[in-house]
Amino acid sequence: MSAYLLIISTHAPYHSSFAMDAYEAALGATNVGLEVRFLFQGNGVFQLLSAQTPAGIQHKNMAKKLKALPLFDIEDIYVCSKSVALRFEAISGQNHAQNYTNEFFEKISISDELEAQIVNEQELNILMANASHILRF
Amino acid sequence: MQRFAIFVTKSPYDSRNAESALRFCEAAITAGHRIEQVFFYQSGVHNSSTFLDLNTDEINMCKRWSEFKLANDVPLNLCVTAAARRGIVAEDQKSKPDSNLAAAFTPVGMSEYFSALNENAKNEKDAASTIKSIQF
Repeated sequence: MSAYLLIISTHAPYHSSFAMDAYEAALGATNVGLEVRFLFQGNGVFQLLSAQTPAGIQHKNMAKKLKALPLFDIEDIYVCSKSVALRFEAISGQNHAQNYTNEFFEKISISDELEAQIVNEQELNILMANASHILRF
Repeated sequence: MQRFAIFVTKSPYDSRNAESALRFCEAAITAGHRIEQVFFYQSGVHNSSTFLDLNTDEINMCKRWSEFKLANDVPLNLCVTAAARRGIVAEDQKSKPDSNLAAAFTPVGMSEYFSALNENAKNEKDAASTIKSIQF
């Protein structure tokens, strides 16, 4: 198991600077050769929605920025399935959404250009347990 | 002996985050451990402002960190970009004549923190030399 830094991004993209702070920390770490893995958890999954139109509030599109992660050698990207499930149900009004993951991923940008792994709670625990360091934003 | 790198992310006064970080550092050193560096990111950069002006019975974190550095010679690094975005500037930065960055703090790039952790990764076999990153 190689040593890696796990960055956990838990905030929605525009309400605060947390999403950008997580992104910039990841770039800073990969820049010095540290292996970085990136996890979207909690409201952080909203960063992946493809239907973001932040131009109206003079911000840059976070989903577009995230697509650059593989260009900076950050290729191990994870999404917490429970976080997606809870938020999809809240947005769609559907309880027990059967195919929430598929439907959500139709709405998010990672399906084509950014490959991410959907991880369950057990896989999350392993991901965190094996990390050399964790930074949470 | 354990080596630590400390990552401070919150503004003083708003939260007890930085106070906890400082107390952790002091306790670790007292217990014979080593603090390699303290790094200030996000709102943590406000810890470095000489403009902090508190009542005499309140804790001035800029002074407390400066005293800590004087006593223990631990580098206090802060992210220069995070600092500039929050109005913390060094004298030579962007030709600004005034500085509110306390002398004890060093403006650096984020890589300064991650280089330490990377060095760590290379020496992983030697468990005693590994640095633990603690985020406050």
